[in-house]
Amino acid sequence: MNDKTGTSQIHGYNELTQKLFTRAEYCDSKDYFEGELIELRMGDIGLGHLLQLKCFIKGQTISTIRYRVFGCPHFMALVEYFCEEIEGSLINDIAKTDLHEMQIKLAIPTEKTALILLLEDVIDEIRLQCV
Amino acid sequence: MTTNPIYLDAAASMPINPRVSEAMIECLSSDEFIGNPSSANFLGQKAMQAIDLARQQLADLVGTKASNIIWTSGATESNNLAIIGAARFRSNRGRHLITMKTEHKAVSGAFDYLEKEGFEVTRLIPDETGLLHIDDLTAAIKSETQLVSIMHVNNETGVVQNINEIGKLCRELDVLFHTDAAQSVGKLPLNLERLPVDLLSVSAHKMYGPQGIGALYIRKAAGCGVIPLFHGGEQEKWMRPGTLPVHQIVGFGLAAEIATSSMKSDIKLMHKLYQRMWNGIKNNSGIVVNGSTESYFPGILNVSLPGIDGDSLMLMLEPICVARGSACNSKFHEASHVLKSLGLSDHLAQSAIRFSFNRNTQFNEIDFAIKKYNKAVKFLRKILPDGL
Repeated sequence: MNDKTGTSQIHGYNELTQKLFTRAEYCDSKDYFEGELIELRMGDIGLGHLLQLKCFIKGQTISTIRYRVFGCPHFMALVEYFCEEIEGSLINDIAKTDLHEMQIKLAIPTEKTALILLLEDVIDEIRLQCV
Repeated sequence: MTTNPIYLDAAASMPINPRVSEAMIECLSSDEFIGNPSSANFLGQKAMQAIDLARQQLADLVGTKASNIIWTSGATESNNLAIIGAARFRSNRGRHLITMKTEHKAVSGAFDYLEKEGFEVTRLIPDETGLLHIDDLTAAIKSETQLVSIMHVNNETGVVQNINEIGKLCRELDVLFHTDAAQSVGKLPLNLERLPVDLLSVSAHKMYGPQGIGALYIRKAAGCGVIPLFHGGEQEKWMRPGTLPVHQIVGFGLAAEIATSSMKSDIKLMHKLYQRMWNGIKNNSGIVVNGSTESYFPGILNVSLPGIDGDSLMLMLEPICVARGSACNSKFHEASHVLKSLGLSDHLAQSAIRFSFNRNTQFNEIDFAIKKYNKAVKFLRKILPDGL
């Protein structure tokens, strides 16, 4: 089956989602990184998604970001994508992260928009903790 | 589609037996079967002979007379005709009906519909193994009760209800008993001459036959009957009007005949496949079998694991075709109503995966599935947030 972008789908997940959801490049392997540590825990396992994030801040930059996650393939892929996008970014720039574009690229259906909203909260929380 | 899919979703639909498909193709391509079986002419009667033979083949499989079988489009229609038809047939005697919360949507949907018509419906809850306690049924039956519908083998868990005990109680109390046997006919021995069942739904594609054809057994007895849902023809004794699909019925009949002869060896094979699968995955910490491990059909193994999302697990299992606990996966994180009725939390019900086997399933396919399942579980647990 193909989605609107012409890529092959399995169980409703497009190729990018399939590629990212088990890539786990930004998955937390409990390694130590230098910088000020910000830790976040967002979501609710009862609602089907839970995210634990570690951001290492050097100066005004997110030097390293690592996650641990429970959720559906869309959520896992989204978190991996999100981390790839914001690692190395200035704190002041992360609000410009285009989550809507990620939703489109991962073909996340509208009934899962809660996942996008959760990452918006993550961005707000990181900025808040860095003030 | 990825290469070499491994099909462990037989409870959803069985691969058609090659002899069955050959017979159907022969039927479709032969000039002998071009007639309408309702026509009085020679070719019509030739088609009707093929249908009569198939009816006898199915009747032999379930131990009844051919005249007690009517053809439908599948188990969903059979269930609707049995439940709605029987409730209306007996509505002048009373309007209370009983079913279980663990029924297939083809059954529960029919009861939902009847509730809107003013019938009262009691939905019994099973114990944590999925089994109905006969005392609960006894307590639920009242003088107005006219119909009890309890499925034989559960499509999600494989739990086998004691339909003999349930049917006996119903017969003693003059209540009609319907069972959705879509998952048991052709797989478990059934003898309707001895079993106290009044109405029984069958599906061809759950027993190596074609999709789009089913049957309903209706016992010939005073007070047992259905009001038709369709109107406009005398086929199937006016109970199910519409031109009969000869090739599908021929395929169904042959599938029934094959099941009659291969059932014993099929059951042995299912036990072996089930045990191999379970032995291969049972060491995953916290894994549970959903449903009874005493009264079950071994062609279905449904398991849950804490800390695992079923959607992610299922995608990681590709190219193995399995099912989630729930047939409905269109909505975000909707847990199976069957598993929740067994007392599973949303979270545990979400992690459920159903493996279901058929007579073509190979041991090396089971071994591959075990390897994939264990590897996926290991990965998904490795990335879990702390404390899960």
